Amino acid sequence: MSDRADLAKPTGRPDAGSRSTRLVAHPLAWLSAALAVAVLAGLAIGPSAVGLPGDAAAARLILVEIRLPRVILAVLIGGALGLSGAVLQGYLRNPLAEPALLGISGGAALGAVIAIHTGAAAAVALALPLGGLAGAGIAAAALLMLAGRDAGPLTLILSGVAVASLTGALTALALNLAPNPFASVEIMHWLMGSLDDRSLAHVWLAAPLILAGGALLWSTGRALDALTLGEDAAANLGIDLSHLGLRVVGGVALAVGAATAVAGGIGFVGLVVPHLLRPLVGHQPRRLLVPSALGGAALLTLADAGLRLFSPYGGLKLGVVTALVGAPFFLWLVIKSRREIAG
Amino acid sequence: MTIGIATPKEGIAGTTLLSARALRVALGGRSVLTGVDVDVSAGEIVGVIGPNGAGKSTLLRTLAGLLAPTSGRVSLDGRDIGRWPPAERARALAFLPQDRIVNWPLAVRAVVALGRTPHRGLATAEADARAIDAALAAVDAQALAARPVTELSGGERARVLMARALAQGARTIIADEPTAGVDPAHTLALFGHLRRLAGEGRGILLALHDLSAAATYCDRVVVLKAGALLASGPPREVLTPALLAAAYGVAGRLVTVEGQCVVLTHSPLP
Repeated sequence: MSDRADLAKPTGRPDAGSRSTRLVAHPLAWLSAALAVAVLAGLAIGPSAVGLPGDAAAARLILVEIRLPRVILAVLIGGALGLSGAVLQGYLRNPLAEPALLGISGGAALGAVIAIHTGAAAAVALALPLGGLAGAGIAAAALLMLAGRDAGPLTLILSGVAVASLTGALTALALNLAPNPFASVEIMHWLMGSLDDRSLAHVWLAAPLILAGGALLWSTGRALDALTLGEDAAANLGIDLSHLGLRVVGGVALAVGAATAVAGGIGFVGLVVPHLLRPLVGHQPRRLLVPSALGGAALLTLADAGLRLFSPYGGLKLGVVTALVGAPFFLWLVIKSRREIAG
Repeated sequence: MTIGIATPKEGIAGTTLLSARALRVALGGRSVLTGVDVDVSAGEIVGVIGPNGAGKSTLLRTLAGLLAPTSGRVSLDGRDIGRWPPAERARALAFLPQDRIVNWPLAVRAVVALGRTPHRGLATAEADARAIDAALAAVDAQALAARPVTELSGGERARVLMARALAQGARTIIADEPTAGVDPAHTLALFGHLRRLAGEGRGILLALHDLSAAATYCDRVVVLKAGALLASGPPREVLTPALLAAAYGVAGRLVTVEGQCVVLTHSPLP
């Protein structure tokens, strides 16, 4: 892909060429470095203290059984959210699109909430994430059925909004009809999104799905670039738009469905990360994909590590923190675009 | 395989590239085209003219394979347009839509480079760069190459998007009002370039509102009114006062000034 990536580089003007190359290389380099730092911080910081106990067996146990699954999940889920956000923003050609828009994370949340509500989550170890996966699958199927064959982006987004509001209403109903106060507290805490007490079993469950979904999403890059010129121009450039829609829905269903099934609702990463990185990669949708995955992974891993530092006993939930960071950012976005319109 | 904007190898003028027979198209239950026949041969520029809402854009989208006709048949290089694999069709036929959509502020050169999408894995990076440079030069947009396309004027953007279609290197080129909003100098230059491309054996179909340009630069014009074919043939034969009255409801005539065709229109008919 690197030889083709140079196409957008003006020829005959070496200074301009090296500038555009640096713009592409630069975010990837510093995002990788940020991710490495985030992973190290995630492994080093625990609720008890920074670092590890002197006893080698205990240290190994803490590192492998407690911190490692959490860090792996943060990297995978953050990456899935960042990548999905970038793909959806490119596909819908709207910078305000985010992974929850298609209703798939709503479906995953509903599935998990039903698992809690029915008591299945308390009885069977992985019933909660499995319920989430089932919910995501059903939501994706409903989305595709609702949108119909040969659905364009607009039909898909409308169907997604319908699925999202239905799953939201059903989740509220489950909360409303919770069998006891403990169940409703458990449901509410789960909905906030967290990586507390996740095990390697969660990693094995989510990782293959997130990686498969990520690969599917990554494969849409060229089509998203062509879609920049509208649907007719993209179709003329040889892009099969209905096939693209299936890949987008399938990729988001696998990646975000699995992420939500394991961690609950984590907002704003998928909205904020692609938006921040877009100007740095020259606004080209395909070039935004890998940086968004890296950026999402780094952001969520750092946020989770920071959470353990400032709220070591699980008081604050990860999804609440990302939303707290995200909302002011959203406000800033609105103000900025208002200025651009006024100017 | 055609690489870049190089001369197509089997460039015999007169070969039918694109052909539509008894085309009927309905959009949302409303009949838009009824029984339209169009041919585009290698070496010629065909103009599609007609009043607003006559079905020009629908005809062009159908010919480009983006819209399935209700009945009738469109064939590209003798093969039904719906049977072409998408990427292969993209290398054989370039289409410029009427809407000048660019959703992200990409650099002009990156926009033109999108025209090379169907050649991915088939053409070398050098061939791609050559095609992009030639397309930028054809619309005189080299100086704009590094500018974000969203910051250009309407006419400049129209030229850049035309360059995208040219960079595709296709043998059949369909463009919906390629010169709308473009200044006279660049309009002349673009028609000159299209004439050269036709001379290389390409077939070009343009929807146009500028009747003088259609009369001067097109080998044949196809006149649409209310979705039906009103007339077709060489512009000097077709663009009679009677046809201008029937098609547009205006009094007008085609005159020749310094070797150029000019269509004068005045006073709408009662």
